[in-house]
Amino acid sequence: MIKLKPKILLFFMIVYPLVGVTQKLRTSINGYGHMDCDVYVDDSVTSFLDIGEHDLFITSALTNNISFLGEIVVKPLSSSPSGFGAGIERARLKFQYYKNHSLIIGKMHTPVSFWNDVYHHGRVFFPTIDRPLSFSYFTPVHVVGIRFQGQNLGDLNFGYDVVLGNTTMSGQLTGGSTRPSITLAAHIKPKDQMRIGFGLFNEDYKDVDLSGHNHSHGINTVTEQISFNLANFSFANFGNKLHVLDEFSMNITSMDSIGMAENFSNYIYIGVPIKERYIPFFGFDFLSVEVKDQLNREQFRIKYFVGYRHEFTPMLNVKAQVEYYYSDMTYMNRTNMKWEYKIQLAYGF
Amino acid sequence: MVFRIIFYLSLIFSLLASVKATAQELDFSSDYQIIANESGLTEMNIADLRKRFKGKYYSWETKIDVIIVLPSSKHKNAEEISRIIYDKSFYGVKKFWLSLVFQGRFNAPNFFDSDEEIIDFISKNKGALGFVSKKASVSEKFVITLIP
Repeated sequence: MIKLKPKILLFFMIVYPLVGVTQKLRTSINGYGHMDCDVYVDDSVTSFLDIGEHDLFITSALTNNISFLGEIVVKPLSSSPSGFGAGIERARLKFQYYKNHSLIIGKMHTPVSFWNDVYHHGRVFFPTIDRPLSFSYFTPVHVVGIRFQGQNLGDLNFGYDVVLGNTTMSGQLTGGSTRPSITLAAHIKPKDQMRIGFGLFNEDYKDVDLSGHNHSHGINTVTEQISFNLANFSFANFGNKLHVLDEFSMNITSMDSIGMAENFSNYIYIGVPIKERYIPFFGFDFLSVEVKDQLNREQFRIKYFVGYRHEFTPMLNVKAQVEYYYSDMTYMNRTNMKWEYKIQLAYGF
Repeated sequence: MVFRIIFYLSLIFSLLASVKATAQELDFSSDYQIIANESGLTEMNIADLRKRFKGKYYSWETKIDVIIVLPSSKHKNAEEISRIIYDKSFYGVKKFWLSLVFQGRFNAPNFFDSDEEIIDFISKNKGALGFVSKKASVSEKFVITLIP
């Protein structure tokens, strides 16, 4: 007969009811994908037909208060012989420890902005074809770490997120010059369709190649320690008659040798639904990086867009968009103005 | 003068809105019954019901997870229930839940084609919450009374 020590028995007596046991495993598997057709017109005309990211999305309630969420994405990768590469974009376990308060561990999207928190890989949920410009330069998209989350608290549906982790995907939390990244975010949802949020992020980098993350913070590798800070304000309102989404980012990077750089970005989308499924929209997006910034280098980009989204079902839509895009990559002494015509078919299954 | 007009107009709109809401509540309580398995509740008002169906609470007072059960597009009452509970079309409700599930904020709701299927699922799953027509035969232990 196996004898268990009293301490072990006590441990199981405490942990077992906390973890809970589900009566039936509830797992759902979905997929998301998109295809794009783009035409760029500047001095010449260039066109593309692309198979975009394809996303296998899995959620499962493992016990009454522990759930799993995973996303495996196959996306275009020019260095691969097939032209595609696969990666785990999210794999997280969520433990709901008290009412609407949870502890999440694993790889997740940093909740620093509305867009990254709400619909990062699901193009079928995007209001426009592209992500905001800040995603290519400022937004730390993924984090491996531990997250404390609260949702729908009080009458204003207050929510908070505190995340400690690593966004460079090296997996290293401490050691050398490295310390965990910190994300602090809070939001309220005064109405069903409205969310107002604020997020702060800080992490230090040194000798880290961030260029491998094609939508992440920084395009350049720096050998001196650099402090990366991001403040983000989001306003989203998707009402029956008007859609508004504003994502404002202020990014401050600092290095001992050359000091501090203040960078800004703002994306605004306004949609005016004719009917629930027919949504014309317009907006603009800009990004500005100061000369002292060594991660993203001095540059200015702005795009104006007008488009139309036609939703056939909640899981199938087509977006058509015309953009005027101006970019001044000062660090390369290169400017470019072009018109972009884009169509995207986005779907879920 | 202008302020007075705005004040009276606001008052009229508020009264109209409350009359509409009360009418919806009456329709709901006379046509439907709320059912839940081991919720720990025997009564609920419509405001609380709406919050629970919108994923405001992860768990019941019994500490069991809330499992949302909704009529599918094939269910004859799908549109009406969507309007009453979510103030959206059924299409809008599907979008609402797809977004919540994609964010990892709530487990996916379960959609069923008929009242019989809804009752069967709820009776077999602790924490499940749904509603069915008043005419449907349901064990008393699952019924939650709607209060004003």
